[in-house]
Amino acid sequence: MFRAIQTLFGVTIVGFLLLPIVAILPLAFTSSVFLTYPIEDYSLRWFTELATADAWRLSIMNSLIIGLGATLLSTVLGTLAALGMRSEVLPLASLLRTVFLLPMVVPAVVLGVGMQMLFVNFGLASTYPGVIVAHAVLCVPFVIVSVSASLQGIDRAVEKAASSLGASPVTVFHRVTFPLALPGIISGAVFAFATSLDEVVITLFVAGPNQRTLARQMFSSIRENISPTVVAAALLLIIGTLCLAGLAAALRWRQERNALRAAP
Amino acid sequence: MQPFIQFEAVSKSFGAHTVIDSLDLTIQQGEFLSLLGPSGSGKTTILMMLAGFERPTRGTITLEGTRIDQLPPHRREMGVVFQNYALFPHMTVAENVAFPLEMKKLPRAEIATKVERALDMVRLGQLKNRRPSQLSGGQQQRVALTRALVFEPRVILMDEPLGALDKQLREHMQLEIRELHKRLGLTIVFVTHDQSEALTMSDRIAVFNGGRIEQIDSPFVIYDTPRTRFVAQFIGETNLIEADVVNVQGGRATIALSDDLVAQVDAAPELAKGQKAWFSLRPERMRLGADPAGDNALTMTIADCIYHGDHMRVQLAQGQFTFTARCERLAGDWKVGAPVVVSFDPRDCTVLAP
Ligand SMILES: Nc1ncnc2c1ncn2[C@@H]1O[C@H](COP(=O)(O)OP(=O)(O)OP(=O)(O)O)[C@@H](O)[C@H]1O
Ligand SMILES: [Mg+2]
Repeated sequence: MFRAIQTLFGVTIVGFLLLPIVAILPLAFTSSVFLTYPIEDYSLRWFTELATADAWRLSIMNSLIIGLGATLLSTVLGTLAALGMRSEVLPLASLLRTVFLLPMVVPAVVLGVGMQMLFVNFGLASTYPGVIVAHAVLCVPFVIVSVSASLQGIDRAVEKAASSLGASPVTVFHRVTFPLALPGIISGAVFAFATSLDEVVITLFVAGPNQRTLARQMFSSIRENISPTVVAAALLLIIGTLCLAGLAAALRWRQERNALRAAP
Repeated sequence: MQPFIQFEAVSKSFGAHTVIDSLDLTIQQGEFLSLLGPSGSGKTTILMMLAGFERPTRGTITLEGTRIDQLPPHRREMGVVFQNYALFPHMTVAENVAFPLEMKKLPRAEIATKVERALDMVRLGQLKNRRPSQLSGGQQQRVALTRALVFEPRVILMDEPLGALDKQLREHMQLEIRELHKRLGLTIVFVTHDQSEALTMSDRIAVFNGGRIEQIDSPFVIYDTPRTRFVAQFIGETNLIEADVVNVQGGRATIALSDDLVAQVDAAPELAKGQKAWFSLRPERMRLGADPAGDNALTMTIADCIYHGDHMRVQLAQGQFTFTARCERLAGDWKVGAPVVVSFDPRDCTVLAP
């Protein structure tokens, strides 16, 4: 009895979360210009529109450029920060960690306004580097969390063993620490890319018309005219994000399995 | 002869807490030295200072006359075996063993043959393409040992390397390590808190207590003539009794164990008449039986008799005074409450100044 209620409850919640998405996605394949059911005829015309209409094509390119840039920047910075906070000699490491994780909790609007004002002073407003930096700020916490977790799984004695066997600190890093942290770094990068991909609010503040990203383009086209192109774009985003999330989960799983086995 | 490794007045503090206090220690080349002591006595700290993971707060450490205490670990050429093995989880067995050779920048072909030979020596040739996670504890232990030996380090340091193994495997690995030590002429510093391990494997044992060496000697001397109360109690089992020195004459002393029990012992030169002293006698050095052979024959009562499989443990009493004796299972039929004559050789007794 209790089990049945549990199952029912679970199914209801999942339905509640997924149904709106599932309800709208088939409309990406409609041939009509209206977002209405029933779908009379299926076609890929809205995907063609995505690929050919300048505004959409440009926004997809922008999303990729900015996403990759922000991923690269935040992965490098986040990894370095996680490595730094691992050191015992660093005072206030836990305070620093809190500061680094702040962008996760500060409202995006506040960050957006702040960055816009700041970027104007540096000539970064409405530039690619500006948007990339802004996104990276949001992505860094994800990288830090993920890399820290995988660093925590590394037995210090393994690094000590390497140095006693003749490896200089640099060699210890690239032969031992880095390979062992790599799954965490990659999954951090995946999270970073996904975060950048669907970020809208900060983009509204710091990006100019030339840096319009896919998410931003969807946002504005919803306000102008609701066409099935938006749904097609949404489908692309969802599939992309799902693939990335799957990749991250797979890496995490592998890492956990290794950690489990490595324990004596 | 110049000592191989020498600690001179080495102290180590963590903040206000002094862990090692002005330690002097020399280690000879080819020696198997065990560091033995209770938990927290500073054994690991000494090993870590030798390996370079900790710097002495004061004092110097030299290796063949050259100061090494400020060198980073990777330039000390010491093979360290950690308690949990510390194998590289992302490398195969062969890659683990090849690692120190790669650090030495040896040619590939030479590395391959050395790895092959080393793994065959510990019978791991079959497993060379496995990951550490796919090995048993004993196999991991052997890989760790091989990895520490293969680059021909000047010293091998081991921190309780057998602690995680079960008893049988531990005894097997003890023999294996002893064998390697003899065959390759290795200098080994071995940390353990298992006294029987230290007794069976070492050339010398350094007994630590609170960051100081209580005694450093061969296993024989440590066991038979402990120089401090701590050593007498820590190594093996002993009857330790506070006694009065009644008389000292020509290398012999008469000791009053209690009001009416007196023993003859071989005396240390510094012993003086009228002094208090600690009397120590191993349970297995006592003989029970009617024959009053030797210089010491005390009549006591059997208070209890405990069966231990290969031996018996007999509790003896005389008023408030008690002794524990250990004897052969078939040595006699001891009845609780019966009187018995306890005899022992004066040479087997140790008397320590308080
Ligand atoms: N990094 C450190 N910071 C502060 N105190 C430390 C540190 N390392 C060791 N100590 C202290 O030094 C003392 C000796 O430690 P050590 O690890 O050398 O003991 P040990 O003899 O190896 O003990 P065990 O048999 O339990 O391994 C302990 O009291 C410990 O708390
Ligand atoms: Mg220790």
